[in-house]
Amino acid sequence: MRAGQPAAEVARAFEALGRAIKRIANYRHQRDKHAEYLALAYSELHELIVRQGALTVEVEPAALLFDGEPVLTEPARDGSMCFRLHRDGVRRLTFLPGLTVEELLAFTRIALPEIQDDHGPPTREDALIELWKADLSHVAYEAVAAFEVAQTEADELAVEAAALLARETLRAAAEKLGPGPEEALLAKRPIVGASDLEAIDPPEGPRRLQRAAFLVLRVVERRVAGRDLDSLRESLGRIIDEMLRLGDAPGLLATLDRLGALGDEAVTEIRVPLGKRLSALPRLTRFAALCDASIDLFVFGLPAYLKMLPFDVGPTLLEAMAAIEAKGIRAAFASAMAVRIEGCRALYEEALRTAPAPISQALLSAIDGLDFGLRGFLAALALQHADPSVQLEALQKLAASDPQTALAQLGPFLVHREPDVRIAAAQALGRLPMEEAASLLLGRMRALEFGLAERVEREAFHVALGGQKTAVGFGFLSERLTHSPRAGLLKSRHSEEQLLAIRGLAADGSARALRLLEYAADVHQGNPAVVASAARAAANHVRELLQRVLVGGE
Amino acid sequence: MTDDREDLGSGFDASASQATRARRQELGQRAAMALQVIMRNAKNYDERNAVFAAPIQAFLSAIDGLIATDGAFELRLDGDAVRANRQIIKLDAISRQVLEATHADLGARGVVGLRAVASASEHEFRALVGLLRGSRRLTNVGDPASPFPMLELVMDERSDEERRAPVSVHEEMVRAYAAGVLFAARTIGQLRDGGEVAPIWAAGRVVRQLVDLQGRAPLAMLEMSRTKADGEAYWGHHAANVAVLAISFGARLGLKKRRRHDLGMSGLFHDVGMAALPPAVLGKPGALDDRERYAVDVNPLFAARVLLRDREVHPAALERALAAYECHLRLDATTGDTPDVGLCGRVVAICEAFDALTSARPYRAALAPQAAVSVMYTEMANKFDTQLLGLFSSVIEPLL
Repeated sequence: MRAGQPAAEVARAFEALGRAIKRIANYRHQRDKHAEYLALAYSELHELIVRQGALTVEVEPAALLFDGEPVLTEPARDGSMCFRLHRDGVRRLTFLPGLTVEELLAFTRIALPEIQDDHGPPTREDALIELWKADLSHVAYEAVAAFEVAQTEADELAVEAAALLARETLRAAAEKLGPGPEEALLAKRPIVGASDLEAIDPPEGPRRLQRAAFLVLRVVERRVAGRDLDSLRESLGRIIDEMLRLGDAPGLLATLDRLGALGDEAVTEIRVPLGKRLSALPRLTRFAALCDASIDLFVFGLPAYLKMLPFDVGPTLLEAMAAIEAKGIRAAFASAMAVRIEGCRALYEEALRTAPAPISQALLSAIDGLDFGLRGFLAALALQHADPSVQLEALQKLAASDPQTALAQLGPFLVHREPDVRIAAAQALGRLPMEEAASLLLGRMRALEFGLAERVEREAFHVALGGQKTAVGFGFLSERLTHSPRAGLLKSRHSEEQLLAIRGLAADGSARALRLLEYAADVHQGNPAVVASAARAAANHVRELLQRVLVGGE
Repeated sequence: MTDDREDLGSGFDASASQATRARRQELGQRAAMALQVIMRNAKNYDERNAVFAAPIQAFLSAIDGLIATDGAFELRLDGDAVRANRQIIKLDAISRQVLEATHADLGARGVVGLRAVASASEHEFRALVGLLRGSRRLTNVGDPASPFPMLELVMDERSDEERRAPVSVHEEMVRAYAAGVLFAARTIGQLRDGGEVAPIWAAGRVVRQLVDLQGRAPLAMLEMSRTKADGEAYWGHHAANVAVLAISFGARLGLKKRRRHDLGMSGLFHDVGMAALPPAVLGKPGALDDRERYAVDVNPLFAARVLLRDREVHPAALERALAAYECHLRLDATTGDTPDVGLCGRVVAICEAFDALTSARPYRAALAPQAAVSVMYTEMANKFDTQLLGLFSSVIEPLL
């Protein structure tokens, strides 16, 4: 830059650059926005360079200096750009006329240090090598040497001996060849065309990661890991993080598959520690998101992934479920939590009562594999959930798993404000062949307001009562089917009661119910045609059932 | 655009621990700044003046500290870099500017630094100040008539012509090659002794230089692969030759320098697994027994293991670890079970075989390049990617 250039202008341009860098650093994953963040800084810098010529700044650990004055300052720590550049030997940067925004962006991304992102810290080459590889046409740099090849006199002798041999080789070659062939070789074109080259060296990203994962596993399996086992575990973890970051579903699937096939020793050495790493929340949620997009990963990869997680992963699984939309994936997470319930019992119970309904439902569905008594207890807890849909499911679970608790808990739900809940409670009680259960149902059915309930609810109660096959229930249904119309009751209402009783007796399905239905179907009994017809159909149905049972029994 | 002024043979011992490097930085900076104060005051004051007391004490404490850390003390002011026990001392811009003047003052006397093997005394240091007050060129002992007991001046031993003469491309190439040889040999040696891989990032800079130089003198680079050594020195030269051949191959394929760098690094470290093999097995002229055979079989896995030791999983790191393993696999298409091998592994396998065949080994004589290629096309054909093998012939045509 020419003498006399106002340092203030440079400072202003770099202030803008500093702000852009900070923004990019904060939103590294929004790569498509980075150019936009950099636009203002680029325009100031570009204008300055066009007007004044190349702009050179010194790199210090905590600042860029122009003319000895800081124009961009940062704290000297691992997360700072200046620190990374300086640490890796870069001492001077020159921005040349012709600088493009793409180049400035590429430079910024190289200069920004590695970060701990959601999926773990990506590793990077040193900044100097990255700058060199990027080959930026309008960003020049100067660097100091940062290493010493020869550390001892013996090393110096070895270097000198190697250099002597190499020098002699080159001297002999120069004598033999003269200067011409070098130019000729320099002028030669590549020996393959661009398309052939792409076939020879295809983009490697995911493929490389998968091969590397397999390589680590092979080292461990062949018992070659030795004292580097920790490092290899970490490397494998980072490789999997990269796969997660890139959304490499096939790579993840293949790696999980391979992990699942490990021998016993390797399981302890690598799968268990890896499972702990994979139990981190960002990894779980990322994997879940990838499962949502890949059916293979969901079907085959998710069980393998969840199986590797440690005993105490429950709380993290629950946290992850909050971000999961897909029902199947949520169910898988819930099952994984249920399997580890002893490590998160209190939390599981709490979630059944208070978590958002989809989560509580998933957790409730997942209790099927648990101990019988525990299932009933957990289902009873879920009855306390405020959401009726959870209560409905809980009622079913409870009746199926713990009749005594169900009996004790279900009564209030028969008069729940929600008809669906009342129906579900009745259906749940219908599975309990107990006189007490029948009494609960009858208590509700004999109440005056029951007559005002929708037909569907009344029918559900009658079916539930019949399903219990209790004496008291049968008595109630037979009385309803056979008694004369009560005084003041409409004829149609009486018929409806008979029809409901028929539904209950059909659900009873016993021989005595059959006899009663056959009796009601008899046209000589004076029942309305609709009742006789329904009784006949129900009798046929029950008869068929009984015959089937009889045949099966023989 | 690259304009870095790095050169091999200068810098710091990157294999030292972080704490050691930090200590060198602290003490080296203290010594350099004290020396700067001493040199500045020496222009105005007699060496007995009290103004020297504090900086001399600071300098002496730095000497003691570095001797305690490294067993020796050496402060050098070369060009724009200050080194304490070979480690570059990071300086801010102002310090660098003031030390440039010190460097010039010392340089005028033929001195580039100061060395000590044991604690020096203040008296001795004041005598040194007395000598530095003059303008004559000094010797490494200061005054031959009354040499320093503990201090030694580091002299610039290059002639004026040497200082001015630019280093030729060939000489740069020779130095980079020799550095590569040392990196590979030292890595195998250190691993054999239970130590670490020589710092890979530093090797990356050597390979970077080789890639750049190949672009400037491709034929000389190719010719350099004819450099051979036997005995223990073989492994270092073999590694450097494979790196050189792989870089040349990549260049002729038209690969970008990022990939050429990958190839060079893969070549340089492809045989570090040899460290797992006892020297007796490496040089055994006869057939190997089962145990030895197993050791040879798993050595590529050992190579991958040590290259993954740094826990780096960026593409370049994975490439070299994979190549160290994959270059030893057979790409036998006839079995129908061809392993998935990346470009680096496939290229290094070819370059490695070529260099090994053209080198003398304890169990056979070196083959001529043409004969080596013939063997690769026939007896060893199923080990290689046949398409790349065909292209390799045209790459090494100048050697045939």
